[in-house]
Amino acid sequence: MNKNNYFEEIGVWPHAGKLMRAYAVGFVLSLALTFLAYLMATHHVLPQLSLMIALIILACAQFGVQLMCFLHLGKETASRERLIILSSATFIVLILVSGSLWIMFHLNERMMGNPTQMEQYMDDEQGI
Amino acid sequence: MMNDTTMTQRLPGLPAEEISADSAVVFGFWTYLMTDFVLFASLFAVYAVFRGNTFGGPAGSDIFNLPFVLAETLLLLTSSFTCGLSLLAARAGSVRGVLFGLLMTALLGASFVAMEFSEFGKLIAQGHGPQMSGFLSSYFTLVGTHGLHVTLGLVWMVVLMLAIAARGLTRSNMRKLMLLSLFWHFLDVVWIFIFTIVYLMGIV
Repeated sequence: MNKNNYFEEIGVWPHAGKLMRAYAVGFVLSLALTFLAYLMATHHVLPQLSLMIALIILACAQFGVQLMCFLHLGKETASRERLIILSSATFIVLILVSGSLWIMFHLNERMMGNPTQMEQYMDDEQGI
Repeated sequence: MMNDTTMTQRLPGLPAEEISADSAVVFGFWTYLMTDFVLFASLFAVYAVFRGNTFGGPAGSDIFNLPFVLAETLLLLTSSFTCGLSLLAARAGSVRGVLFGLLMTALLGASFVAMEFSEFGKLIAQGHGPQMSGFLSSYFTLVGTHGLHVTLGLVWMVVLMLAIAARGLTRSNMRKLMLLSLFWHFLDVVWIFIFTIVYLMGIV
């Protein structure tokens, strides 16, 4: 059985021993984080807001684990370009998501209530 | 590319143009994945906005079956792992190992898609179809888009298995295997956020 050196030649992937360890570590950590998040959510271990924040943190931790272990973003030089474009995509995503939520929830706030309240609001705030 | 020199030094056996061409392919495919990341992010934003707009219909906590979704998550996560194992087999030069790894991955992925179909079917049968409320529309769009990606990944996987069975671990098959593994792991990453934001936060 001949060893296939394609990945080493391309220089994108870590070397064989590291690759096996990366998959094993990634799999175990992802399983642990998934179960932890699941148990925390189903048992309502924290008040609502802090639980939601905790779940987001756990998801981001698992995101990091999978980026490093499964998608092999690491210290290898060849992953630098991929890291750069991931960062710019993340930047766009943050603007997109936080911007949408900010605008839409602000809009909901302004539109809430019945027409009388709305008229009252317009009288108070804008002098119409 | 910025690391041309380091790469040429590393590859005594292969012409430098081919190496940098294949690295460029990986980079290009990664760029596509990042645009897909932006696509999913916009669907997540839509879902987050419409989450409470149930129009008198059911909310997430009324219709989500968490143990079922946990099983889906475990299937997808394990398939990501077996996909990695088939890459290891490819490095060792074992065609049978690669085919076995891809077959396991495809079976796990197909079970995931089957579970998702049955979940969607059940919801529609109960009258909670995508046309019922803003919440349900955005839910079906987000989760369905992910499911569609997984389904296309399965088609790609089957085609690649046939190609590897026919021609072995050629340079072009190795390259496709590498891109497929990136695609598959990326879908697992997207699913983490669906699992957390849609399902877990839906019942909190």
